[in-house]
Amino acid sequence: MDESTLRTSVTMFLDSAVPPDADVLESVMSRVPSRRPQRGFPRGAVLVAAVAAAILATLGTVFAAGGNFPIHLNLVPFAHQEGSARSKKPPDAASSIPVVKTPSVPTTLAAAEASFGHHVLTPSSSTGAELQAVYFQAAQPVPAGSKPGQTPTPATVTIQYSYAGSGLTMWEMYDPSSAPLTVDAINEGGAKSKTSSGLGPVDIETVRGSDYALVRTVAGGPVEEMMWKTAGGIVVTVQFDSPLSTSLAFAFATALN
Amino acid sequence: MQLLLDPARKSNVEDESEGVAALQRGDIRGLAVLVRLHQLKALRAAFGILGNRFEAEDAVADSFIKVVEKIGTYEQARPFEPWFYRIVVNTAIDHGRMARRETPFAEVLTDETGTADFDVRLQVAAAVRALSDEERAVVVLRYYLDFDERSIAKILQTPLGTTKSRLHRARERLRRELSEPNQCWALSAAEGV
Repeated sequence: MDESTLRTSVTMFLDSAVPPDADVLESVMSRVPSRRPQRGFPRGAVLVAAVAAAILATLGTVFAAGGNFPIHLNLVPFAHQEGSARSKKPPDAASSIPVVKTPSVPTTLAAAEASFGHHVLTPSSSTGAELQAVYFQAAQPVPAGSKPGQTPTPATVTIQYSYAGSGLTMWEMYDPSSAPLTVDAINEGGAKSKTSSGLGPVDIETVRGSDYALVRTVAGGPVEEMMWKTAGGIVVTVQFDSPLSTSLAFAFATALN
Repeated sequence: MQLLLDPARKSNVEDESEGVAALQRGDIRGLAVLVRLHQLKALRAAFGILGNRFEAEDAVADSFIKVVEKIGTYEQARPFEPWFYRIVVNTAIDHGRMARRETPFAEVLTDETGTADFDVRLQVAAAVRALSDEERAVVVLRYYLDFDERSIAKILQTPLGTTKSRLHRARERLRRELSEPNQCWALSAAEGV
């Protein structure tokens, strides 16, 4: 059997096996909006909770003097359950997280900024970060019948970049309050947050006078997630697909403008 | 903004190019254009590797999602198909590794008898089923998608020598399976018998 006959045979076989009216368009389009923004949300949500907390907080007025707003860690008791750390859930106090439940809409940076109504932070080209995708999620009211304390979900811009040989997802929300950023963390032998490998320590680090909350995989280890509130009231959460060194994480965070 | 394209007005290549450009701008309608253009060939290619329609559809749908995720890395100056089929074939292979399929190509083997090409399909299905997923991938890439060995090596990210030996082994097995006595199906089918 020569090459031509083999090609004809394989082609005939495959052409006949899948009819011409086969269609995956609906399946593909239905997956697009629901898959992308979910990336990393379960873990990011623990930190994103701070947005709602910050908006609701009446802890007094704190002004960000040129740099980021100060950050307070709110330690929530750890509900001991059997099983691995990943399976343990934070208590109800942390469940009032404004997790984006409805699909974000893929869009462009310019369109996202117009819908957001605020300047969307983007990294300088010197970081080498490359834009991959932009999504916008309009503000979501508290659904009827929600638990007391449930907060509305602010409008959110979700941006994905390739960076430092991996990827990252960045969420930007606007917090109009002048309150500091309150980050909920699980109180388990210190401030902890869920990471891809269990519970990781949460630190607040100050760089050039600005506070950043960092979630590391282990104490002193690579950074998996960062959060801060800019002087302009933009609450930024960055989640790295692969944990990065502190210097690389800050190289990105401090290059946003 | 007019992004949904009129196929009667433009060639597929132009549609593809505009679909890619739209997607790179974040306009998801560009994806719909690419799906319409490439889904059938992609489904057939994935079926050739997985041997199951349902799994092939799942793999192809996943592939298009990856296209959305990776479209920022695609350079418009390069041809789209090798880039796209690299995603499709590797996604299908990954799906094959994850799934414990009972009998690949079972739906072909249990299809209705009595159709003119049933014997042909039966024989090819049996022959292709005897190959590993990786061997099926090189067969699909070479004989269905018409890529040369060097391109196949790039798509599968395997050394050229490995690709050549894998293709040689797959080809010999197919020839052996399909050249059994009384199995002159290919010629018969080609002649419309």
